[in-house]
Amino acid sequence: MTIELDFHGLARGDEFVIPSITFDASDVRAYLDATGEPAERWDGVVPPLAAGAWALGALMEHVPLPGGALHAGQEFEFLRALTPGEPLEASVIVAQRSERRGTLLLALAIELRTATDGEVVLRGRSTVAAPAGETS
Amino acid sequence: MTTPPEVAPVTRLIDQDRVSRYSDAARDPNPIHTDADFAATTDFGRPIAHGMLVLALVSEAMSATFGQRWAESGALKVRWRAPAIQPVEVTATAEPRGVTDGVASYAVQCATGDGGVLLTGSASVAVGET
Repeated sequence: MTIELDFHGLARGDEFVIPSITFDASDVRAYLDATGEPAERWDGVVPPLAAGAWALGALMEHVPLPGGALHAGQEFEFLRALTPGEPLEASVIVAQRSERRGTLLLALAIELRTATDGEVVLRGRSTVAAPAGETS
Repeated sequence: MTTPPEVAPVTRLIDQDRVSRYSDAARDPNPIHTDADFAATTDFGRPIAHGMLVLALVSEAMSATFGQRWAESGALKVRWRAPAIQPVEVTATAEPRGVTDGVASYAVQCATGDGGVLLTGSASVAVGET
């Protein structure tokens, strides 16, 4: 069961774990088909930005974005090539929270790790802007 | 410092079909990309492409030059400057900046055909000592 957290209720320093992130070869094909990137370039390897996109997708399952939210900025460090099917997990920390002129700005730092030995394979930092709302 | 390898630009049409397929493939449920009725209630008035789909053109340009090395040591830092409202032709470019301590750095950008800037930032990748 996915536990949903309230975007507006997140505070700086909040941490949570996304326990299971997986993608297989068909996921890679669908990603490459959608982006248009040549598939032969990634035979048996996961495009690094795809891993980043799936990590962010998993993050959004846990922290649904409110209406009007925008992805304002993104950082990624790709540390190791992934192969389809590797079981992964992610840890997320709210690195920054600020509110100004009716806009809530959250920076979420994410580390994607192998579920087997905890090796960090990708780091990211997402900046999301959303209309400020009531904290639940 | 030496000059990093040249990175060829990538140009692609981003239309609603591509955006919808990307929503499914990237597991991004945000209706602002696919639901015209919902998008009509936003500041943009109609669906916009995923920022990550636009960024994918930068990653594609870098991987075309560096191959798997991009997946092993690449880094990106970008800000989205404007929404990509489909259909739109987008070109990603990476301008060499230099090589320091075996890491090549680039200024990256995505822009529309009429010069509208969608994304700016930097990319880097390990190239070893040169």
